[in-house]
Amino acid sequence: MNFFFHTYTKNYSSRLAIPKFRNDSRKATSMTLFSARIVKERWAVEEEVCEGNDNWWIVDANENNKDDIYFIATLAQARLIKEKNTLIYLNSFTNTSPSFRANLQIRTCSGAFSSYQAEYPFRMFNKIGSVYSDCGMLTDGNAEKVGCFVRNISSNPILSDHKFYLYSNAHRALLSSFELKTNSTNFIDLTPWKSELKSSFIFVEGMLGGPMYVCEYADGNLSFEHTHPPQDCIRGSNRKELVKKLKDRFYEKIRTSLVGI
Amino acid sequence: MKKYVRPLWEFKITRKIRNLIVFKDNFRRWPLERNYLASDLFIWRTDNGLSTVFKSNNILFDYYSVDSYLKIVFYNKNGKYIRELDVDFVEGLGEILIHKELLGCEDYGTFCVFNMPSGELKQEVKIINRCYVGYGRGKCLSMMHGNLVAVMVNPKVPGERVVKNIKSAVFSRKTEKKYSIQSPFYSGFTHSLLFSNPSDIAILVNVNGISYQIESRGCNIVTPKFEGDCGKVEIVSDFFYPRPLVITENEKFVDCYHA
Repeated sequence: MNFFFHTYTKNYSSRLAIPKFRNDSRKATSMTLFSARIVKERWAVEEEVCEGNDNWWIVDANENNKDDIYFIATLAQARLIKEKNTLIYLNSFTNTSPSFRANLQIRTCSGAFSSYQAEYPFRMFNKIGSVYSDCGMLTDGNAEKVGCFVRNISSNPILSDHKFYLYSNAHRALLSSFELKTNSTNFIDLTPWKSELKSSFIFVEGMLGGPMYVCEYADGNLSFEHTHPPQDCIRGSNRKELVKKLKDRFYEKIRTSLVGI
Repeated sequence: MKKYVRPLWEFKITRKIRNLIVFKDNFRRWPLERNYLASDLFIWRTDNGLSTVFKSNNILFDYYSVDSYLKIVFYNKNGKYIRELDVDFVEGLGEILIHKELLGCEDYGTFCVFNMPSGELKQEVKIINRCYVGYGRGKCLSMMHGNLVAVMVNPKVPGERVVKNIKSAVFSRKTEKKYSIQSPFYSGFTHSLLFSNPSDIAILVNVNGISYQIESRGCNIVTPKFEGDCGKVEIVSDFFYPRPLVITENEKFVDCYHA
């Protein structure tokens, strides 16, 4: 089951176009779109009233709904989340291959746009891990502005803090650190370090979520895409072990820097 | 249980039996290989003022501590070989800008990228390069990640013989696959769907009722026709994974993503 989210800041508006059909054309005939947000440590679930047509639910983000999550379900299924106060697996409608995705588009006030097909699968909700991402893949020192969204969704309605580290391999030094929250769309402005990002990486401790990089160029053009998780680059029975070693090695660089501070 | 069964699964005799039994809906050949460097079949564009950039991390070094370089093989839109290039990693990043001067044409085609070991490789590896490609005009490039495990080569093949040893990572069996793109196509923009064919045979894709043939290792760019705003695109193909790239643009901005 897949959930969907926004990537909104005061500089980037966010539009979600969630299809009412699977990629095999089957339609969500008895289900509708719901949103969920955390209110006083409880999941508040509502049927989403939004724009759209026969094929799409279209939801624009604002300051009020920017951390909401969206899912397709029946009313009876959606109520279970409220009753149990935890995000649970509700139905298999969005279980498809290729994956069921919504179009997540960011825009600037100059009319520039960039999008990717986004989803947040339920299987990630209760996993504990860390995020490693090579900044050089999707950033550009020639851009005017560079930033990174990190979205997390966890089953329980808790907003807990986790550290986001930016480390330069070239300088062998920690460039900066930030606080991220679970169950939120976090945005880190990386512009001050844009010329260093080619040989840098980010690391988030104890929280999962795919980093999505945005580059904004002087002529207004945008680039917006997420990096692959490390396990997507290799296969084999020792894949987990190799990924763990990779993450441990990079975290050791951060830890050494922190001790030196 | 899995940790006891998995070694048996990898025995040579088991592998041979597995290769003989092709399950009806299994089109993926690469999981049956013991040792491979795999790549997506990316699309390059130098037509219409566009450039293409490709970026990769040093996968072999990051995971296996083996120095490597990138071997990039270019094909034209009909799947014919154009040229190959070797690209070194600089501070862990391998990057190439693909423009009309590099390939000698304003056109489009495909390319694949392999993380080649610089020295002797003493262990089995299973590498998938689905790294990052971007399209745009000037220096402003909209990036996206790779899509499919499309082609592969044995890591023991020396660099100069890679081209002759590239094989499809998917079985070349025809099927009937329907795929509805889950992205609205807003009016007022130019939308292009880019299909590539990694299989060993030509494939057909039908986009909103119009059919196109794509040669082996080739590609095609389709401009779909639809009515109204938030148009829908439906694809029918004899290839199991007809999921195109989408480039959406207007007179000022370019966006790309996977459909």
